[in-house]
Amino acid sequence: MRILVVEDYEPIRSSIVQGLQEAGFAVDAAGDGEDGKWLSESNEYDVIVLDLMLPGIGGLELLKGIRKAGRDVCVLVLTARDLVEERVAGLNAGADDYLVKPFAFPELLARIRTLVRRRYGAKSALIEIADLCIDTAKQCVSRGGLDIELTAREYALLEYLAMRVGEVVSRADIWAHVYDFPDDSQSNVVDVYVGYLRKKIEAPERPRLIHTRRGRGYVLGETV
Amino acid sequence: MGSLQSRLALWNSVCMVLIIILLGLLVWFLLRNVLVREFDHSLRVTSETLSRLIEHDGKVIVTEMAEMDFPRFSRTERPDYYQVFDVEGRSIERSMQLAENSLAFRHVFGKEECVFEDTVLPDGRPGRTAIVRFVPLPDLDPDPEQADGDEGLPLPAAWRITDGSDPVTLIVARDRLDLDSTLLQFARLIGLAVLLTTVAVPLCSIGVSRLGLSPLHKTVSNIEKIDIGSLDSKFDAGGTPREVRSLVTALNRMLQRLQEGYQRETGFTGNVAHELRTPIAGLRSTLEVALSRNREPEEYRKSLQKCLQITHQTEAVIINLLTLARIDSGNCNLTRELFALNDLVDEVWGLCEPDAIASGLTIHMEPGELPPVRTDREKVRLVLRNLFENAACHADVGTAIRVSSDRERDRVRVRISNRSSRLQPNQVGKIFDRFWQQDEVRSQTGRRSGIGLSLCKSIIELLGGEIEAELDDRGVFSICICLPLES
Repeated sequence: MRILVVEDYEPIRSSIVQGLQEAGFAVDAAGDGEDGKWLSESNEYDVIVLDLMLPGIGGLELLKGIRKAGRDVCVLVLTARDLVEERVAGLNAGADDYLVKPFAFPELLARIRTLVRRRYGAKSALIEIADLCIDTAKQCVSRGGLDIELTAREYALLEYLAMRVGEVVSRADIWAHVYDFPDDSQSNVVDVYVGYLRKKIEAPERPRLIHTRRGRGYVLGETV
Repeated sequence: MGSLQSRLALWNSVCMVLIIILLGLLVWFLLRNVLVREFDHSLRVTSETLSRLIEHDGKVIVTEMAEMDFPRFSRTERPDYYQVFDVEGRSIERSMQLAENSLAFRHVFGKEECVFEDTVLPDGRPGRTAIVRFVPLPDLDPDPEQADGDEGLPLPAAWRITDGSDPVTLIVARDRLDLDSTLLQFARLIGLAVLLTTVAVPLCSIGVSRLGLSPLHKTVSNIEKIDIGSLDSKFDAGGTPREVRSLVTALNRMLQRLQEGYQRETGFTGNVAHELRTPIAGLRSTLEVALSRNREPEEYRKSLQKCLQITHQTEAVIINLLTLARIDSGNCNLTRELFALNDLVDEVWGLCEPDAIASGLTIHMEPGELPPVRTDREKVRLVLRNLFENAACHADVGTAIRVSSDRERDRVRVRISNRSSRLQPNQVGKIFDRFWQQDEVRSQTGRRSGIGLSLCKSIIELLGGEIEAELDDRGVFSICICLPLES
């Protein structure tokens, strides 16, 4: 999942970016409203973590712009302002969630994951596809009752496919939502990681869950 | 009695009642004078009529009243009286009803004067007399018998002279029972009117004052509805009297000032929260992320360095807030020492330089020859740091910050200039206002709560100096601090 962090205070911004990247998210960051606006318009994000008090374009203004443009992205407002009116103003402007500083990083992570699930219509933190079970809260994967160890990147790829279960997900989409590297959709990185994932979740005696659609992408599902 | 309405009603009532009583008395006296004058006029007419019946035949005074029929004098019930006296006060003639009684004679001085007096009639009735002194006219139609007998006699002196001759005094008396009765009726009527008015006026005053003060009551009612959440509301001055309108206008201005102050206070609270929460959030997230997994020592060292940097920033914010609070409370102690101001400028700039360079700014130092300054070094350091940070924060990217110093008579001056295209001329007057911020949303480091320049002003004034700000036509913003050499 790709996250945009717009925060003017560098220590917070860098620690959030580091924490999210270590949690398997693809993260972009902006230090002011103008950069945040440009990034939000240039890329497709699953969640934007937005500080309200920003130099240049304010967080509320940026949020209104995002909603006015009709972008399908969840916005988590992150600010030191904790007055009810300010929270209401933030939510009324189109925020999906509100977190007051100082915050616990695990809580921020949990809320981001909740927003990701909401964006893809997942009701529960537990996603079950055939006998594959993905606990998005604990980031645990098991199949047939057996735990499967995945790297952060592999888990991010599986979670993204699981969020769009039954849909054909293009390599470009996977690249945009899972990888932090510069855009290079001609590379075979996605195919390689899909291969890694298949090896771990599709034991020889188990039915295939990740199906290739040549020229179009991949589909996660029991039957296609 | 404490209310304006009751005071207005009371004083209005008292004034109105006094005026009405005075008017009643005035009316009564006017009526009394008119009636008495009419009464006296009637007496005068009677007196003149009677006086025409008193003649002088050359020898003696001749009266013809007895021959005439005057019902007023001849009636037995409440008769009028007359009496004629000679110059010596001897009675010449009197009305029949007087019998042996006599009216009180008194001399009247002057020619043919008619004097009116209150008196008591011989029968005890209150009365009024008209006293007329005149010289009888000669009898132009004397009694033939008497005329024949008196032929050849010299004419009396009264014929020849008027002034100085022997005049007679005619006194006509009439009871004033009817007059007094009429006057009493008028007095009762006026008294009743005054009494009714005295009762009605307070009631009317209460009603009128209540009506008159109703805009005030309405305003008070509206004021009572104002709470901290409705400071932005305005009272409608339309349709209110001029006096209340000025009050409403003043209240609206006061509300606006209160709202601005409240917004600043609220903003300050939020900013202080932001000032403290933001670095704490930075500390917490940095530490939590650092501790979220096992890391190499170098990664921990980077995280700790970041935390140290955050604590330095937080410390600066807290020092600003505490210093401002101490200056406000008058508990800010000064420690004066002799030091070189240019050295301090260099030292403080060294602390701010990394941030300025990171923002693409350069600095031009133009130090002048300055004697040592004796003042509070730490306070001046705080001022300079805030001024440099302010310049580094608001200067246009890629421009230069100029710092110059010089001496002007018995004080030294430090000027910090930077180009600031976002600052508007109308904002310069506000920059020293507490909690005022140029950027409504935020400045970069979370350290601009709108107290920095306000703190500088407070400190410089505490040190006996001056601080000024100006924006020239080229968009160069300058802040100049002046410090006395010995403060």
